[in-house]
Amino acid sequence: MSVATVAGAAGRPTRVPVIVQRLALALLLLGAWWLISLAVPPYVLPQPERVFARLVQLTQSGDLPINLLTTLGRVLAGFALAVAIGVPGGILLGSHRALGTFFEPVLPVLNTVSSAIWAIFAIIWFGLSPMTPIFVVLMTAFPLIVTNVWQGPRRSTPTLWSLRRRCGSRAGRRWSRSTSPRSCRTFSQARASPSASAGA
Amino acid sequence: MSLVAETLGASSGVGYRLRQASDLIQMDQVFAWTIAQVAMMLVIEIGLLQPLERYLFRWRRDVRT
Repeated sequence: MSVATVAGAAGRPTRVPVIVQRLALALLLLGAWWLISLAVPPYVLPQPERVFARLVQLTQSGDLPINLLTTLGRVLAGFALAVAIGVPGGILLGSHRALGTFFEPVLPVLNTVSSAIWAIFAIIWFGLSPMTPIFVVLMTAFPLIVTNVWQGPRRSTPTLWSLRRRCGSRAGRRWSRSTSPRSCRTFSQARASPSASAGA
Repeated sequence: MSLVAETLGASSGVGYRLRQASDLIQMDQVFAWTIAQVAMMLVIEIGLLQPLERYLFRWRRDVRT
């Protein structure tokens, strides 16, 4: 277990396990929440016990799991679509310099469009339907995935590919041994997307 | 971003229920939905994505150390 060093009362460092620090932080935040909630009306900040009672009630009624699964399903559907389009697209752009140079200006533009703007477009195009959040997740995750996967072939192709070709490696093997791991690695930098897709 | 979309243009899901609760000024429900959503994403991040990433990139561990 990892530990942190904290200066003791006598100046001697004492080791506090990280788990204890995390628990202390959680208790501190919960205590601050409870204290502030005593001073303000419940419609501004409800007391923690009231919120946890509501959580239990929503769970028991089945409302909470159904809606959580609905949201999760939409996030996964949007992200799966973004992966299905973005990964081949990123590899294609990274493998062909001319294509990459031609489409390069599109990605910063897509990356700067806020998800709220995509939501407005989605409402106009799809109305009040499950496609609206799926489309927003797709349009927000897609440019991130393309940008990150693109970097894989871009970084690996010139050096590793020519080296493997000189050593007599076949094209498929060259791809699986050099381009693919690089693309996976850079794709993982967009890994935060599913989490962000649901929350942000 | 899914929550933003659900808040504006859906008739189900956590985003929709959050907006419904805030429209009715039911702050305990707003907090409950928020905590549930954060908890779900933490479970996915810590329980699924991080172990998956560690497994897929176990070949890089030797390079780092």
